Amino acid sequence: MSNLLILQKNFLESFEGTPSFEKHIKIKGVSVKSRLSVYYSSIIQTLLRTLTLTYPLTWKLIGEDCADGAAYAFISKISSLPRSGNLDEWGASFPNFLEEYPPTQPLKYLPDFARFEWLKHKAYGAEESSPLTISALQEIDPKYLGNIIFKLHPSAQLFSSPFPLDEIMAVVTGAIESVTLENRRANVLIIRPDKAINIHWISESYFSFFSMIWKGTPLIKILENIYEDEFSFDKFLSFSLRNGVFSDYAIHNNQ
Amino acid sequence: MKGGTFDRKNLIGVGLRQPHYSYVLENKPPIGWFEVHSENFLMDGGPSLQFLDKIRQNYPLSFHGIGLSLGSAEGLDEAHLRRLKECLKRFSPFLVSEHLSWSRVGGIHFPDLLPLPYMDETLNFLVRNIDHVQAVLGQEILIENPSSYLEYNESMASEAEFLTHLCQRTGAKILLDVNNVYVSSLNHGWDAKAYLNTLPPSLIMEVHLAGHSLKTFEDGSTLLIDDHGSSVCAEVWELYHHALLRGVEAPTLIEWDTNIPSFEVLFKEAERVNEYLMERSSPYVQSLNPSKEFS
Repeated sequence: MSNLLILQKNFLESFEGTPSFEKHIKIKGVSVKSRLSVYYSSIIQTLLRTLTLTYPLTWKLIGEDCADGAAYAFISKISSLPRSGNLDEWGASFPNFLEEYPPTQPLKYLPDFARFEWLKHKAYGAEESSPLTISALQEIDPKYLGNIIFKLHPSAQLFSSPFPLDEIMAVVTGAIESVTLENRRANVLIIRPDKAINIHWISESYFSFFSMIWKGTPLIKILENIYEDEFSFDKFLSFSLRNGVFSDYAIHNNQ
Repeated sequence: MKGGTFDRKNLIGVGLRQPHYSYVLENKPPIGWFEVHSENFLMDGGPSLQFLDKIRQNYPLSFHGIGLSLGSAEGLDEAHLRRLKECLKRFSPFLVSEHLSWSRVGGIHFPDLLPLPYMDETLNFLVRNIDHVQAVLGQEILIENPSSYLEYNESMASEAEFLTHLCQRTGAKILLDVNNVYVSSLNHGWDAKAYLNTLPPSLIMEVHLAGHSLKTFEDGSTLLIDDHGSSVCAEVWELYHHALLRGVEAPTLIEWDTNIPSFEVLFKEAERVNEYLMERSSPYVQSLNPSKEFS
């Protein structure tokens, strides 16, 4: 192993709490501990700032002290640290950590609320694509309509939770004062057709429909699996086109 | 190249940060160019990229990386490099830079610019990594001298000698951060002017100027911290003047990343760069057009 690699591995060990890097540092004036603390502090503060930017509503929901405490504990685990220099991709496992972290463990709804925020973050930086228009659909030969496979917009994110995330979010944003944590599912479609992120709280049937589209199921197969009497495909299609949910379509070949 | 093209008549740039996007788009301030952090634009799409597309229509851009970890003994993160290449393709920057530092080991990325021991083995790793980066990107890159808070027992050369030798071996050029020279010199007892005198002016293709702060530890000892959170101090301006007198003729950037002030404050700081350039009477430099006022 090269000397440089040993030195760099020693830094990782010291960050984990085994002081093996210190022997490389020249002793001169300011103590080795103080010199090293500048780097540790900078790393931790950068990661903390990244989490607060990715999960602003989670921070608001549980308060800065509690959220900062969870973040520090998360960052202190080597397995949580970034795997690439692109910090935009980092932090997806924070919601899972909140599930295990003792101070937040009693807040059963919290991990799902954080997962919802992560999906918002993903939608923000997703690939750009023009939403599918009704005129594009009008060009399809009617005999192939059942074979259509819609493609969700690259920014579209679907999530379903057993907790009323919509009302929790309304409390966080100040739209309502309190929420009863009843057993009511919340289904959400997050999408950024252009600049702004749109959050649509959707019904079970819409969620099922979009989930099957996401799996690449042809339209006719989806309609066969929707059992809700009140479901209106016309309204569903209108909602989808109006909100830029689809970016393209393909015609499924039955052969 | 699309949009604004770099013009040597206006060497002065400003680090573009999110709070100023709208201001810059609406007011089109007479700045020569903007620099952005590459890692803020590696996403697949979205508003940040769309903003930068618009800014790029009017200004040349420089992309300044903080995540490639050129000094990693384990080599480079190829996925990160590929994404950077895609990003550069979209924005066609006139300068691309990174740091004389490392961040990555054992598959972990530390989001900081960790210092390197200046020894032969490090030089060989850096040469290999920089050669690879330049081959993949298809262009020369600039390497910035870091600010540092510790030195290694293993170091065999001064930072300035090491950086010069590295650039001579790879064909890369130097991004001289004058504030970093000052911060590191104070922290380690180096002679800042001797540092500048070691660097060949012909290798310096960009200059950074920024502010720093003083950190006092419990035992009363102190270190200067390169936090980019205040105006450029008098000592750093003096070092900049010294670099100009040595023949440095490079685009110069004001960086301000924490406690970010209004754009007008940044612009005033940029005008000070112009005063130094004018004083040096470079034939390349013209006024920033002071008659133009912001709305």
